[in-house]
Amino acid sequence: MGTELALSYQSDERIIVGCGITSAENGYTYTVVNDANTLDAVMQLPKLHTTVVAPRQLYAKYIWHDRIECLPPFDELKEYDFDPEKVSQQQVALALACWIGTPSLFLLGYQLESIKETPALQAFARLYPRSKFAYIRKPNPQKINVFDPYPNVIIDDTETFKQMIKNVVQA
Amino acid sequence: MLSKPKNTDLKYHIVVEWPPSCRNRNVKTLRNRPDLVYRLNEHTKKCMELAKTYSNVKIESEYNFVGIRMWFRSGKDVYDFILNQNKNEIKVIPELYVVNGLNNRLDKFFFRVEGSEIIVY
Repeated sequence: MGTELALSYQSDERIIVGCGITSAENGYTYTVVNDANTLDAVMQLPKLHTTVVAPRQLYAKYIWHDRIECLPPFDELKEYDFDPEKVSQQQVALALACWIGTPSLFLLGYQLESIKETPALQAFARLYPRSKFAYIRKPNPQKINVFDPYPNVIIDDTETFKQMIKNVVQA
Repeated sequence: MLSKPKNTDLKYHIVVEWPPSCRNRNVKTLRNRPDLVYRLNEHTKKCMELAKTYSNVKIESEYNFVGIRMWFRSGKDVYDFILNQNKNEIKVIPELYVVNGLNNRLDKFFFRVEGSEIIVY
């Protein structure tokens, strides 16, 4: 785990962007939802300790509610035909995290997949060269090479990540 | 250009139209038409009275050609205000500005009232 990332984790401005109902139940800072059924389920939770973030059309249905915001327009993604209602929820969550502008992003539970998800992460790494992306996965001896050309993407495992958190807490 | 009032948690902005005879009158015309000024004042007073029903509402004091600009903190309140416009004999312009908590900018929406429901798009 790079020192820069460890230092970044020490920041008080830690923001957790999750997606779907589990994120809402866990009270993450922001919960991205991009389909109507999940949004209905999230908004019906008895207590919401997260700010739900939804694309404009879905947001309009719950515009009168307190704990929901409209996704920003993502101007920097316009030329990439990025449609928050058509891409996966994790891509929208990643787009929001990049838009927020945090210097380091720890991707936990991000599912890689060769057709859309991996190229999307590579595209975000290209688009935000000053952001550090730490892809955290379960310990696995098999090396991931697809991010080798991206100096701002590192692959790490959950054990190292947990150790880093311990070190940060102890510090 | 519309901007959010400073240092408040007001989130929703709507405009209540002036009575038909008072719409789009410039200040010069109004100086010569005390009858219209009277109607404008009466309409403003009415909106101020209605606003008292709700928890946190701000009425913009600056004159606007189109109508009375109102800010609400609560979505439930603005929903109720819009839904009861016919009963209260006012007309809310079907445009809604909402402060986006992520970037503090105003997002513009349109709405239509269908029975007891407000459809936003």
